Amino acid sequence: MTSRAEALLRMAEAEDTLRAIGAGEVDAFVVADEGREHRVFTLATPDRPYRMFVENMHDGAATLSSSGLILYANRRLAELLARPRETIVGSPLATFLAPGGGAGLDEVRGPGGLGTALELELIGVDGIRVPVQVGSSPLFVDGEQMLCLTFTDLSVHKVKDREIARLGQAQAERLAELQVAQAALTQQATHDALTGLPNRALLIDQIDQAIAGCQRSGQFIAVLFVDLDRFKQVNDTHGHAAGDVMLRRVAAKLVAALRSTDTVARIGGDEFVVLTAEVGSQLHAVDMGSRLLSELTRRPAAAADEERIGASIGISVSAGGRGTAESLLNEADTAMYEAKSLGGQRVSVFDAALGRQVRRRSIARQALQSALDDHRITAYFQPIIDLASGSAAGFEALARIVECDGSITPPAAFIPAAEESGLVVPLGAQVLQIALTEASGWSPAGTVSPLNIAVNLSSRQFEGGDLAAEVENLLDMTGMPADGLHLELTETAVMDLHVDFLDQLGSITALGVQIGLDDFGTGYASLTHLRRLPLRFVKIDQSFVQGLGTENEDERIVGAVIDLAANLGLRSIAEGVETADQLHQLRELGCDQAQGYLFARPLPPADVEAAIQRLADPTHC
Amino acid sequence: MTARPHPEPGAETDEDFHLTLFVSGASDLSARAIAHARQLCDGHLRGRCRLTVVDIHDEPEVAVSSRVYAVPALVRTRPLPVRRVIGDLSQTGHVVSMLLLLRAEDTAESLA
Repeated sequence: MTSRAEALLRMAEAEDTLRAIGAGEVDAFVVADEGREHRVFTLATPDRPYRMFVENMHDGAATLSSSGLILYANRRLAELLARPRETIVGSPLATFLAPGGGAGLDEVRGPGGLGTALELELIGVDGIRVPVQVGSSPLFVDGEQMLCLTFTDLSVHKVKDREIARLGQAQAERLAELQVAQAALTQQATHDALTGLPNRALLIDQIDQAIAGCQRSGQFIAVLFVDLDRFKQVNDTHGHAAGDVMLRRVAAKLVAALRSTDTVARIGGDEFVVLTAEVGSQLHAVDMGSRLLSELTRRPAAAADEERIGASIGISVSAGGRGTAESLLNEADTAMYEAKSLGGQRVSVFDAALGRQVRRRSIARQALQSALDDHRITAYFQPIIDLASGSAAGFEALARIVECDGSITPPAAFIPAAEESGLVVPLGAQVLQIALTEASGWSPAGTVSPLNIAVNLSSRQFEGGDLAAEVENLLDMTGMPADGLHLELTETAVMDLHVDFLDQLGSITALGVQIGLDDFGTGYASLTHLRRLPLRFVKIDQSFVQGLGTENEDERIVGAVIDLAANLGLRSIAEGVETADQLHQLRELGCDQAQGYLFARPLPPADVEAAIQRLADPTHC
Repeated sequence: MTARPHPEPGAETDEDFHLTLFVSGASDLSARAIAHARQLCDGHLRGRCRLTVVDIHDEPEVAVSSRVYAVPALVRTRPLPVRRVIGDLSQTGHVVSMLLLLRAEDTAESLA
């Protein structure tokens, strides 16, 4: 091109520029600034802030001509398409839409479609699809309908949606699991697994609520403490599975016998509690207890082989909201023990008298505890006379408390409390030690054989599991020959013996120690027990002995026991012999040994030697 | 003249027009200029045109090197000589005559 032509062109362009500026057709200028960034000057317009906003907004934005050309694209749209803006502007939008997307856009453009949102897929530079939500609004410029579009990136949202859906699903599942677990935990925390009945925690809650209700209404509520008699035997004899069956049967019977408004709970091994809020009086509650007892005991004809269920029921009644759940339960428990101590299979009500008795026992327990702590336990010794020779065969050790003032408290004052509280275990151990220590020092002068020492044993002393070792240890320490120790078990203690306890008894007899049955005839020991236990002697209860000479029946019983003992190879020992007549009769009936005030009262250790000497004299009786 | 960064080698003929439209952001004038440039490419120059749009805010140096100082401006980089049309591109007759006259001599004559 010639310079002339070139110059003409430049001039024409300059004129064109001036004309355009004059006509308002130019809106920006670029000024070259060598060595620095070129500067752009824009003619400010009132809508510039909006342009800035659109330019910088987070969503893609575009202006579309009526023919679908992109007249404007903001930065974000270029980012979404991953293309330089200059390749976007001026191109039809359809170029950047996934196949079929344009049709959707036509709908947007169509009548009524404006302003609606549409989901489309943009195609990026590498064919990557970007899901977008397209918003549209019309724009009229010089009579031409253009379209302003916004593109909201859904890929992040879609990922998030999927994530949320996934999390939501997982969370919902977790929540459901938690709810199930929570329900199970609640059930577990408030119900007994074996019977499905409410447990102690739920029962206490319900009693408290019932008490609160009574405070408003002034009505009665009753708590019935049901404890099965000799349940341990069922477990021991028939196994725990049989025990569980029995517990479930008892639960079912109680539930069936009660109204739906009553609560039945299982709060321990064989302990059930009934809470009833609809009793009119204490008498009413006793009727209810009696009815429950007969329901429990009743055996359907078809189930004659079932183990018979016996129970003791203790009742506590609260009027007008008196007491607390714990106090009512304690009272009912106390009444239940009363029922049990009276032989079981009966109903007892907690009343003021029982309360006093409990308080007395509580005082006795405290006194015993302090005596144990202060080593104020001692033993008195009552001689046991060999009826053939008339001399002392041995002594029975009997526990005593030496009070602080020096007075002596007899066992009747503290043995019940000792048994009930478990203090009988340390008490028994101390008495055993004292007895063996004393007996090992006795000189059997004038006697045919060494003197024996008889000591009472409580079934609770077996609970530690190492009674045999304890006995062996004491025998070693004191040097007392094992066959000189005679341990006496009451019939009631024998009833309570577990299989495990029988094993311990076996270990004790293996040492050479003799075991005998105390107070024979007063309890429930059967011939089975006599056969099952490794017994060497039986002691005939003083209540029978005292009837000798006056009651023919007692004479027959004592005679029968002596014969029975002889036939089983057991020694018979009569207790509570007070008169020469009784002694004569016992000799006639063939009794082996006897003890009682006739020979001597229980003696303090210091008097034992003298008694031995006196009893060795054949003229003493 | 700086080549645009998106050549398509092998696809060009002597008759191809390379047009670069310089605009200023998202202004009305820019939008209209784009629309008109596209019309031109799809109309008179259908099948023979490659259009590139440059925002002078993004790439002022491209404008300067193309000796474009006021926008909108449409620049013909090919075929030579380089031609520039400033302002409204809607006067298609004028624009077409400015852009389509191939030789400088012809242009000079037309202008004379």
